[in-house]
Amino acid sequence: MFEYNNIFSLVATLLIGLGFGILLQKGRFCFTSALRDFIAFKDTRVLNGVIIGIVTMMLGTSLAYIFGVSSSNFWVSNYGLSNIIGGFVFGIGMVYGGGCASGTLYRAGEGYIHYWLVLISACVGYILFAALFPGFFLPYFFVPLQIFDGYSLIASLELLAPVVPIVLIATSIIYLRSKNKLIINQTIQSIKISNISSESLKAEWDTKLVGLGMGILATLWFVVWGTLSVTGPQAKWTGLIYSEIVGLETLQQNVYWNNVVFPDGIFSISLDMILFVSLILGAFISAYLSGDFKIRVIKRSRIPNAVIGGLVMGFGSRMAPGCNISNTFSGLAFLSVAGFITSLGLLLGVYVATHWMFRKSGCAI
Amino acid sequence: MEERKVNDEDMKEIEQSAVIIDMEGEVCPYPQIIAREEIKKIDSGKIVVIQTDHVMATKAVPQSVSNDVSEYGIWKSGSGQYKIILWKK
Amino acid sequence: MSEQNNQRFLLVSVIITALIIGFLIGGTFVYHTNNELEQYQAVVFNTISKTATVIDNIEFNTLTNIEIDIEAGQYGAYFNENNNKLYLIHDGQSELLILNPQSLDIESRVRVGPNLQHAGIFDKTGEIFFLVSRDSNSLVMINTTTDRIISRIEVQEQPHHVALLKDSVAVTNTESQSISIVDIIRMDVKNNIKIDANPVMITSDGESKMFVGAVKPSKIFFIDNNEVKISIRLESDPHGIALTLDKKNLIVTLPDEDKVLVIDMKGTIIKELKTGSFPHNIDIDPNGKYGYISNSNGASVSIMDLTNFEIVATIETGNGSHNVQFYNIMNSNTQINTAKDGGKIISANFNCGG
Repeated sequence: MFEYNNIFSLVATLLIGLGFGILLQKGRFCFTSALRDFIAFKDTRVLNGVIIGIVTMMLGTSLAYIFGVSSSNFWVSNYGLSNIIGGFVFGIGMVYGGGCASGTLYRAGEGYIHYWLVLISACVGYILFAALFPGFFLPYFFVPLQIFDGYSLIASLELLAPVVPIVLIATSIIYLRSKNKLIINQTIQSIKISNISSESLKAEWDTKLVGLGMGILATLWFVVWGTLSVTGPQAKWTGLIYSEIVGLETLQQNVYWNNVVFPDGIFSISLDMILFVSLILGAFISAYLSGDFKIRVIKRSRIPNAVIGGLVMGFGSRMAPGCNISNTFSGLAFLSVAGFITSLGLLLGVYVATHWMFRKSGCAI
Repeated sequence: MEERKVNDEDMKEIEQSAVIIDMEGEVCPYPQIIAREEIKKIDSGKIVVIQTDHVMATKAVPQSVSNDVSEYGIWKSGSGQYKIILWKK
Repeated sequence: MSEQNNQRFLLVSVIITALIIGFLIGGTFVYHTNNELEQYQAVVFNTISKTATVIDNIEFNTLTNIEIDIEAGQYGAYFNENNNKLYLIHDGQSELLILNPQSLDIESRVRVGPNLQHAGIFDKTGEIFFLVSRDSNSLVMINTTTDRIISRIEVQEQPHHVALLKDSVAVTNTESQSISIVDIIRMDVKNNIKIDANPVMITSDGESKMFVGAVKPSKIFFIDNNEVKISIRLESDPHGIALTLDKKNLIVTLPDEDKVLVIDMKGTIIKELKTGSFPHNIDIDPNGKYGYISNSNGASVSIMDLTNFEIVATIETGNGSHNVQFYNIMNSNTQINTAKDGGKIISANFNCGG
């Protein structure tokens, strides 16, 4: 049932997952918030962290790549109009549901029933999508639209790959310096050992540091397994649990479960699924120790948000394919065209949904 | 918009005269949306206390009303309850 | 950012977004009007070495060789796209073998009739498989979903091969020097067309035209509406016979001469090409672009470009290369896979990496 190369990779997976969970929780790191708050109030708190995370991951993975990590660890999806549509759908779902794929996970760890409902609704979305896949999505959505071959600049540059992130970092440092916006003093202060207290650990962490940490962990994950993804393992767990209910044969008959979610029809627990679980666990531990854990009962008026948002996210993440993590985080870090296009669709979806939700009070952008 | 440190004593004093908005159970993005809408209805100089259990609200809410607010404060119960104090301009 | 800068930013992002979406839409449109080719692999069945050689049909690289666990001998392999099954008919045996198309493991066997001829054909929907049992002089129809025999229809002596026509099939009866036209709805023989040679292999345009390769003497017959229209004398016995997808040319192999002939619809031999040793059968890919000629004694397959009728590649296969089927046998992440319902999944990294 378990699939892993050795005990080392299993332990590494657990630790990396816990680390992600802790970082996400402590940084309140949610992509929805990064984009939505930027559009609504020009708040760049999380967005800065996301950008730093992406660039760090770009640097880290390109270095790992030239030091021998196999190119098959990159996820370079084929792309086309389907990515924009899928990303758009996902963007809408994530704003309405109240969190992105990773945000939902860490907040589930913090005890929010709302986000457990979002997760479950997303899983229901996967099951529905898989049922509709052979008859509708495959012939009318993917075959006509997902037509261009996948391409990742980082993967194709091979030995020259680290040049891109290094150039990006250098130019941004020069640019920020010139505008006097390089506020690293505050950040450096916060990591000085003398300034770290139990109080500051319990409080929120600077998103820039969290982004850096995520980029480093993502690089480690790239070495152990490959691309970072949340909805992928989520779909696999859904498949496994669903197969317990309706029987394995039902899933083996379905082309989506049998060939896409579980490639080559091998239904087992893989490392990314373990990462998924340890991420939630890490968020829980972090929340509990910081005094942020509380079983928060969902407000009745917001149940539609969770359910519909979750369903829409479930569909969107299968249509793109991928969620904010695999496309916006990993995809941009790999400079994969599919990642760009899906992220663009995602941004559009977030923009539209934000403007709709903030219609009474207006948005900054 | 500046942050003001608030302890338990301050809280008791503030709550006597402040407008209390209860947002317990609300999750993203409603704390920000409701805060923005409500703050416009409050008179100038008044204090608003938002009760929430949503972790992200402690950062998102002040940001969402930064144009209308001169100072804000965050009070944490230590067990997932938060109060956000906003001093309207 | 000032109000003006804000608007400028918005404008630029809208333009860029519109350009990207326009590119994607344009690309979709262009791709679909130009490029309707589907990607398959050519699977060559090598009857003596008991392997299958998989060749990609764009670059003609040999992808792999897979072992098949059956006895050596002549056999024909037929892939059913609907049910994702592979049928194998072992010449002279009495069973139809059903194989897993990816692993080539034998999944089951069906008893059909004595002395089966190893060439069979699917009907247009893929729901019926036609084959012949020589010793019982019968045409057998198999339901491809259940693998059960629908019916046996008696034809004439020593039937060899089957071709599809509109609402009927044509069966060559080698010993009777005739072609039986069988009505498959009423399941009986409508008429028998007499010729002056022993018919062996047959192909058709799916409507009313049939092309028969015969021996003693070596001839090709063009039959239309049940009448022999053209009869062509050949220098040696023909075996493989196939009509190009545009129905304009007939390709015939002459195994004893190591040659392949291209014949136009007037019956003129317009081209002769050298192949490998003993070109036994010719199979045309579903896109109609290439014809694969199995050179049974040369352990190779000659690939003929059907637009200019030139041999563009000769690929080494196992011994006794006999016939070629086109489907996606490889299930790897970078191939296009054929799903059970016949659709195509672009599973190239479409996997749940997301």
